[in-house]
Amino acid sequence: MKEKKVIISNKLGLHARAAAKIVTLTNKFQSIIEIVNNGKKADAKSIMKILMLAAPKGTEVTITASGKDEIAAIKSLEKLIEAKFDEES
Amino acid sequence: MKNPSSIILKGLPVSKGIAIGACHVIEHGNNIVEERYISKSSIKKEVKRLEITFNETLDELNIIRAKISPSIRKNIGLFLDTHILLVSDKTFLDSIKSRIIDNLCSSEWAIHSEYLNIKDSFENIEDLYIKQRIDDVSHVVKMLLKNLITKKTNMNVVSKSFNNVIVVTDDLSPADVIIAHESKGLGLISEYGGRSSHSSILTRSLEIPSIVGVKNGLDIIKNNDYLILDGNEGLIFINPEKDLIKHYQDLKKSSLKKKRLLSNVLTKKNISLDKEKLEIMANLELPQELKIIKEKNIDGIGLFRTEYLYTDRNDFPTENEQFIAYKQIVKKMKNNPVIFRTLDIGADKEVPDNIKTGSIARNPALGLRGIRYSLSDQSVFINQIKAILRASNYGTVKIMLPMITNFMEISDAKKLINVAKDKLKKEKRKFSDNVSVGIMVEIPSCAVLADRFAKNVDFFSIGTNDLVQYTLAIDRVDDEVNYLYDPINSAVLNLIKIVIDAGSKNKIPVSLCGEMAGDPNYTRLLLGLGLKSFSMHPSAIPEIKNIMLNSDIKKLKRISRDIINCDSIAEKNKLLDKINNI
Repeated sequence: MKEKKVIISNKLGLHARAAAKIVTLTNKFQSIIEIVNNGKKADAKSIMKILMLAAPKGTEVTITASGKDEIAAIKSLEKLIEAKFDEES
Repeated sequence: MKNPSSIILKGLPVSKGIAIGACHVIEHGNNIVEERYISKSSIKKEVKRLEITFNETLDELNIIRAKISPSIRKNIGLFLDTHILLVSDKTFLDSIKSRIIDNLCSSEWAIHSEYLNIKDSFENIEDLYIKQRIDDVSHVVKMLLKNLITKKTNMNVVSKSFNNVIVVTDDLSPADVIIAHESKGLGLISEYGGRSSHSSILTRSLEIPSIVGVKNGLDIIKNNDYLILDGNEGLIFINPEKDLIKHYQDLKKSSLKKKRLLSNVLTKKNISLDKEKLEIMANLELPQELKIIKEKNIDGIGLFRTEYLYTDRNDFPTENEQFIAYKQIVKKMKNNPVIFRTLDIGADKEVPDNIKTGSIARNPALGLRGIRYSLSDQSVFINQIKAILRASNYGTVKIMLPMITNFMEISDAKKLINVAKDKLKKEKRKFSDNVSVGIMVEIPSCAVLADRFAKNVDFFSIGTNDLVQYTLAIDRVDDEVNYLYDPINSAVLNLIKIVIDAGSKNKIPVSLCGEMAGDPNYTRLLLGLGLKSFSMHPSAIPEIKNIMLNSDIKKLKRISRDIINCDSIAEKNKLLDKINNI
């Protein structure tokens, strides 16, 4: 299993569009991918669960992936979050 | 119209035109869910039923999405994307399934109770943006329940056709409008909605006669009622008499005929009989409308409303998202100018929840709107300006500031425009050095001192809708006072004249982009007052241009002045009649 801490730094946090981008990305991987916020775990392939995490700007979350493509999965997800979901050009 | 014994309903006309025909009522409303236990032996069957419904709903959403034309897919499609992801969400489906398997609930009951469960969790969320996403979940749940309950023989929305009918619904969704357009529906009526919701804008750009805000419409209109929908006045006649149907059929025919006759003026040069060069521009609300104006041979976009990028969502459009939209328009217009009005939200325009224009403003028309909002939320404004400036690389772009009341607002806005420029330079983004900055003249304080304002800006555009409202202190949408709304009130005309004269004295262009510009009754009057540039809804262009080509402006000046100086309304109407028949 791979694990990484990242900070949600886009303006609105994990809102609908950001969650949509995460789900679209994670579903390309076979690994089980999760986002953990303050002990709350969410399946990163479920838009509903990510929305319910309700992580606003500034939240530190842990992303985990386990499976064949876990390294690539973690890297891509980290990149997406760090690029602020390509929102702020 | 003698003695109409039929029932008449009134609503907000959002897209012009007349529709006559039978109606088709669709109710999105709330489904009542029956709490039914299933037998253990039918678990498998019930789970299958649920899965089929999920698949059908997903297909339905995908088909609706594919029907959206590419130019608007990006904006209109976004709300569908969230819905599509929700329906494809495996954990969502699995939790519902386990309710069937563990608790022996029927699919309907399982979906509904899972929905209530999700709703509970959302209620504990503090973040308002995310909290509101429960609306998306609720919309999806409604679709699922409807598909569960409706018989599988008719493929629901996918094959839904509004051919030759007027659709009456409780809440018009953009999907409804798209289906009506594709299946050649006659018109649309909705109980809810406002002028600037995406659905309403779509009805205009697709030219489907539509009325929204028809209170209790579904209680009164029954399926297959025969209706007349007058999208010019916002009137609906239910099962009208023959005379009235005939009247409207004639009206419809003559407007179609006029439209055909006028189409040949579009290719002609826009010069008056006495050889004055005139200018016609279009007011646009959506990039998709570029298609309609293509063959209209216009001189530019006199007003590009940017609100559509901000409404029907709970977050702000990013700079890039705006840039892509703006660039598309600028490129299409080649070297003809595109005048971008910066965000003008508030008053009669619906305000998304992320934009705080004062929650319970007592009088929103006098509240935090237009440039006032932009100056109060500077990062939003700077982002928009950056996007507009970047688009200037691809053609001729102008920036127009709405709701200007004093000189300070202009200098403050210009400072922020410079901040945007500096940021772009730092980011090594290109933009044109010649982006002019002008203002909407729509508040009397600005019109009265137009000569001084002219020295601070590059152009004027007169917004008559608000100018009339603010000069006469009446709210146009208030039924009690809207009889006072009068664009040819002498005080209003006087202000218009002051602005036109100030423009020519200071050598800055003046155009008029309010509804008055597209009203054929006032074209000659405005020409007589010295106006040379008109910006209007694309559908009004042929008729207005025809009047321009057949006007001798020299002969209109005196009588225009007489109209301003006339105290009697009856006398004024006579003069207006006279000027229109010279």
